[in-house]
Amino acid sequence: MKTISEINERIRKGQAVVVTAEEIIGIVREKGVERAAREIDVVTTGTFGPMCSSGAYFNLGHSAPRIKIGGGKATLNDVPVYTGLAAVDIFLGATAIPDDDPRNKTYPGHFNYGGGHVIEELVAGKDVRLIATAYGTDCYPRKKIETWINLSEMNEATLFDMRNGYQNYNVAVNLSDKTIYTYMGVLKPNLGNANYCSAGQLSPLLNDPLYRTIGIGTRIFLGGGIGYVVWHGTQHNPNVLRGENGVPKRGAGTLAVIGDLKQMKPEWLRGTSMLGYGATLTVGLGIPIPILSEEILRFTAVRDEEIFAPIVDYSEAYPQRKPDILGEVSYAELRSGMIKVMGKEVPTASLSSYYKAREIAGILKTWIQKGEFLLTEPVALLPGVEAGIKFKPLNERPIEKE
Amino acid sequence: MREKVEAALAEVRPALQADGGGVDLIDVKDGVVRVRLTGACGGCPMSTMTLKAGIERILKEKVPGVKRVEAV
Repeated sequence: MKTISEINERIRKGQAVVVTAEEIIGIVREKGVERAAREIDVVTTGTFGPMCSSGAYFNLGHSAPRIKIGGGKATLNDVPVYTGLAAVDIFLGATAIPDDDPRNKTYPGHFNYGGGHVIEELVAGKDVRLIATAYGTDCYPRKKIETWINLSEMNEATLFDMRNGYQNYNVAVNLSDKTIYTYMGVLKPNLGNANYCSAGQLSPLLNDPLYRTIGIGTRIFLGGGIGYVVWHGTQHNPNVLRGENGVPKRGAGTLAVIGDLKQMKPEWLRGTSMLGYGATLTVGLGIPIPILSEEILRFTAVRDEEIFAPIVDYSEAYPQRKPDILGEVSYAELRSGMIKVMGKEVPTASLSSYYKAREIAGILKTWIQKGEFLLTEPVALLPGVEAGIKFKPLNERPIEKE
Repeated sequence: MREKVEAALAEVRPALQADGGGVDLIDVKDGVVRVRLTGACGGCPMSTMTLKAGIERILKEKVPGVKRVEAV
């Protein structure tokens, strides 16, 4: 019906009709799918939540004399970075924490500062403390460096998240009689609360459930700047239970994304501490969906009432990798603030901010309307159901001692 | 100062309400603002981020003299 290049032509002329994934719902109700698909060019989505498989790589530049940090040890603000690369390339993971963090020794640990916080501070323009030790070589003689460093002084600073934007996720509850501390937040005993983590009807992959438009090379909103989808994310698992609308009822697709950290904003990359669990990074992600057909338009009009998530017990089923679920619940119910689990009224809270997701979808809409953000044609689509991906557990095989 | 803090909190509230939460002012003393997070914010794992990156940042911007915000 429409092509991406035709839509881009309209964006360049300032004529593109762009709406958010929230606004499209009312438009379709009023005008119907056929007319809405004809009139609308792009639907924007957004999500803002903690995403642990995030990180950044940096090229620090060469000191005089030179030091080969590769193969040595290095920290940024005492947070260890991965150095198994060339001389001055390092990778910082969002969940890395200082060696002297007490972790869960005093339970529950606070994890006040980690890789995600370093990334936020760098993006905010703050100096961070680089300390590195190396073994020294003829061409890289130096064995230690301690210096302040700033994002602006680095050659490259690239956000690279190997799994972001989970397409649906568990609703976490606690059936045990004691409080537990999880990556889904603090869960009170005996079904004291339920935490979920998706922007539902605004979430990128829930608006493109069969990966018809989002693929490798898709230009996106990432951390307040521009980024790209570079691959499917780790644990990408299209073969899960789906509704008649194609929307997965379990955690399914994921995205690997990349972008220049120097043009991102700290408001959209927040270091985050999860009590008793660890440190992470809360990431702002937004994806435009080109309305190429009525089918795609119909997907973007999905409502919270039509998206279901599984309720999982994080005291026993999740840690023991048992497949049991306690039921399914819609995002409309979750967002109402109360759900019913095993006959009990349970208050809900979201790790993912719907308010911020709406803001991201709005910003992306404005960028496109102003002609500042053109859509890209993916060079390949993400693996879909037909790819036959099987989600593998780690089956342990004993290592025999000689 | 309390009136200014109340006015600033009124600007923050819609954002919290969109996520099912809310905030009530308890008191303001020596630049320290004490608030109670309500609704979904009360049990939300992200409430520390909301408090520091959201409420405290905005109050510091809007109300001179605010040093920090604490949840009770």
